[in-house]
Amino acid sequence: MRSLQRLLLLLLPAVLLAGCASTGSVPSTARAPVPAPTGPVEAGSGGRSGEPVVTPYRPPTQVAQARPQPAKAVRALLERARKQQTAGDLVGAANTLERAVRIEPGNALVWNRLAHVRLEQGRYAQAAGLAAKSKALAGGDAALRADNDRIIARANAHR
Amino acid sequence: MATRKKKVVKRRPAKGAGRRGKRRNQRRSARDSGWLKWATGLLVLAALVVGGYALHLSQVVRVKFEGKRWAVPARVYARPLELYVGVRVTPEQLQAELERLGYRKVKHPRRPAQWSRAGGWFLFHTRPFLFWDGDEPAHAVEVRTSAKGVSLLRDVQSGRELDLLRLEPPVIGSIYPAHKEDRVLVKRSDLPDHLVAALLAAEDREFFRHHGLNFRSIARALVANLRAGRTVQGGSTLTQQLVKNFFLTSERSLWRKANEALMALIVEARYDKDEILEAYANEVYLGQDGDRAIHGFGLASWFYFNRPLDELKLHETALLVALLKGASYYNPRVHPERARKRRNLVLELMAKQGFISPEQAREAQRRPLGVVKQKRHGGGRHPAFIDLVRRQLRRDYREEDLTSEGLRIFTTLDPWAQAQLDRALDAGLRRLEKARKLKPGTLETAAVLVSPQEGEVRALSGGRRADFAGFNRALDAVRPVGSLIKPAIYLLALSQPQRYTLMTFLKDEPVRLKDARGNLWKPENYDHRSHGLVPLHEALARSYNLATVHLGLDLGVEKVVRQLRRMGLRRPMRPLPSLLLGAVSLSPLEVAQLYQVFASGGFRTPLRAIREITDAEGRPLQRYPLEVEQVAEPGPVYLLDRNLVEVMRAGTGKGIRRYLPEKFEVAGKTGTTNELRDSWFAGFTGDWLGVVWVGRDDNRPAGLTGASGAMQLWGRAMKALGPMPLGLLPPEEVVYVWVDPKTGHLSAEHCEGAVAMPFIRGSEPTVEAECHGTSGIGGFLDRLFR
Repeated sequence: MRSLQRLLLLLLPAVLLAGCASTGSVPSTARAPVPAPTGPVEAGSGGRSGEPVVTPYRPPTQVAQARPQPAKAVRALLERARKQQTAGDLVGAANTLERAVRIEPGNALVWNRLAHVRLEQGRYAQAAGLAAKSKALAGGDAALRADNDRIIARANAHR
Repeated sequence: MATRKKKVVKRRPAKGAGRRGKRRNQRRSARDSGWLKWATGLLVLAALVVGGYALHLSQVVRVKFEGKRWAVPARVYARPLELYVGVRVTPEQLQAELERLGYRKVKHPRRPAQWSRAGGWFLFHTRPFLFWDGDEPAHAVEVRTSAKGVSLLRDVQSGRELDLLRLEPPVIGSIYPAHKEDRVLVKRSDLPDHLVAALLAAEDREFFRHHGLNFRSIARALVANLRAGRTVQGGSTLTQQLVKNFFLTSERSLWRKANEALMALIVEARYDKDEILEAYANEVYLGQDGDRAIHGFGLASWFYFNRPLDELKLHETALLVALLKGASYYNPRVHPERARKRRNLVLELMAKQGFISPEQAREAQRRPLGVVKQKRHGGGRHPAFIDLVRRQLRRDYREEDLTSEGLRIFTTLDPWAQAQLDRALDAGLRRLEKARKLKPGTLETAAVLVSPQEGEVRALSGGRRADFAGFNRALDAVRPVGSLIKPAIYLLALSQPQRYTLMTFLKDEPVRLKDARGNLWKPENYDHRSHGLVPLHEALARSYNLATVHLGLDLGVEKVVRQLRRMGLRRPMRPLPSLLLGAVSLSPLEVAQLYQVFASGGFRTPLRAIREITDAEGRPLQRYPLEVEQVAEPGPVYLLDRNLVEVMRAGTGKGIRRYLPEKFEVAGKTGTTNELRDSWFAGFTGDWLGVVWVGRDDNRPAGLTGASGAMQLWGRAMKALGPMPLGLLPPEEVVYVWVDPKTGHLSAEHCEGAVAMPFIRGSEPTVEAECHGTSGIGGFLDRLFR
């Protein structure tokens, strides 16, 4: 009986230590870090691990990664397309947005805007495809993803 | 009159007159009036015939002048170069584009189509251009660029920085009618003054005064020719020359000449001088380009000087007019001295008749011919790409509309990329042939370069001879693809994460199958060995045949076929096990279509060569919109792409490091067929997807694997293009987990030999591996109390 008590006493600190050390059923060190991308991160593609996302969709909350970016050219085209769409020139808006895609094919927002135009034109299959593409590029940008989901839902409702 | 009659009547009777004489007189007068009747009748008949014939000719003239006057071929444009701060356009690329557009290098650019350069600092003045989406006016711009790309783009006039500048697209060719005439139509108002002056001076001094024929000049020519002993001068008017050009045959009989004279008169009667001049300017024959006939000054200006008619200088215009006397005899590229003499004569005549001053004439005579090198012959540049454009058009247009309506076709071709590709293929093949002691010319090739996200065909090569308009191997060389098919099978597997992950062990064991006829199929690995149990990613990276067959059979060959269909393959395929090892024949373009799905994260876009078509006035006729269809989930595609990166790092593609830096992220797959007949490679980076095939036209073994053959050419081309790295980013449903590579079990970072592998969330291994590695007390206690 005493040996058992002694044993327990000896183990007590160890138990306490263990209690502090354990972190759950799966060891935390089993999760590997996401390998850093070896290429440039496109604006609008978002962080993959849930970090705050920088897209032109809303004012950036942090400075985008420094890399040669044609952001200005794409912003200008996005603005032009917006004006065209408001004026009802949907064909023109689509042309302008396709030009923007060619310049920055990894930009989720551009694909999203193009999807909107196609939706307005009644080209539902195209709209759904473009929105899906935007979603795949949107990463952690929840608002953009949600908007794309809305486009897909509306497009599918018509098909 | 009455007197005459009386006279006749009162004629003295002939000898032997009397009743007999009277009768004779009667007969004679009867004969006379009969003769008159005949004469009148004949005259009337003749008049009718001539008149009728004239009417007929008049009709011919009318049809030629009105109605469908000239078949204007469809003009094919490459992509317009877009400039903006940050775009990777080097000074060399920008200069090449300006030269391609026929811009003139000057000290101070002041007019459209002029440029100057000092290192990376460019000043140039663009031409206005009617795009498919509107007018782009001319701009005077300042551009600063370097090897890193454009750093400044400014409008010279306003001083403001420009967000974006789209240069006019270069013309890369035409699609012209069967009789192979080509034109750039010009209007009377487009004809520069000194062109008209040259025509008058050299060909038809009194054009504005005569009525079709000029007898004075005919006489003058006769004298001059007699004196010289041969034909040195023509007496025909411009009108006559125009008429002559309308006939396709070059018969020079008297009958033909008479016809032409008559028609010239008719033309002058029906049309005014301006209309005749315009028709003339568009009709005359001015040169030959292989089997393409150059008609009209508009096209001749491009053909000889690579710029539009209104940008020509005096001496250049004079040269074109000089060619009227014989485009082949005076061909400036073949007989420069003759051409120069004739040109200078034209200038002299212009001065003599007061159209230009003697100083102007002298100055122009001193100038060199200025003719640019003839672009590679054989129906324009880039015949393989234009062939693809034609085929895509054929779906929507009849041949007649294509070749006669003056359509403007805006394509996706990147001429700079095409040039890099052509050079790389040529040099690569020659190096391969030399290394293997093959006779030069034994090997052939085909290649396609595509933009991964938008599916635009940027360059296409139908064979090692870039300018050759022959068999288009990129579209028509349908060859077994071998291992290139494997990624599709592995994608199908990875799309079922509960069954397959990158670490799933496959059986790389012998296969023996009997087909319907009882024949035995016993495929083998490249090294003729079986490797036992291998993880899925390794089976793909090393292209193990046996493991792939087992995997494919487990999945079901029909399901594999369906996967291929989803990815865009239209070709009929038989769901046989041999399909799993690529016993299916595809063209390089079809392979590119397949790999575009991998390169775009699972979004299939039908590969396009055309963006837009407008009519001759710029009205849009047809658009080829950007369309994407999601055909695979992003998670499985990411896993597959990572696997294809492994192919290039540690698998069959690792020899790529000869061309690309060690750390550069690139994905690809090699493909080799039976007996090394076909060598394939398909690979992609951040901004390029390329497929290359190497083999022999006679289908004999080339003795090259995918890696030793096609991949070498691909690498060489890619190096020249300067691509962006792949930059794969894992989608939301992918997690990275440390595993033990030998067992596939869960491991930890500190464990010896552990590697981080991606998995679809929920499919990660749960069984733990033994861990050998320093960990510290925390880890030890963790494991103790789990």
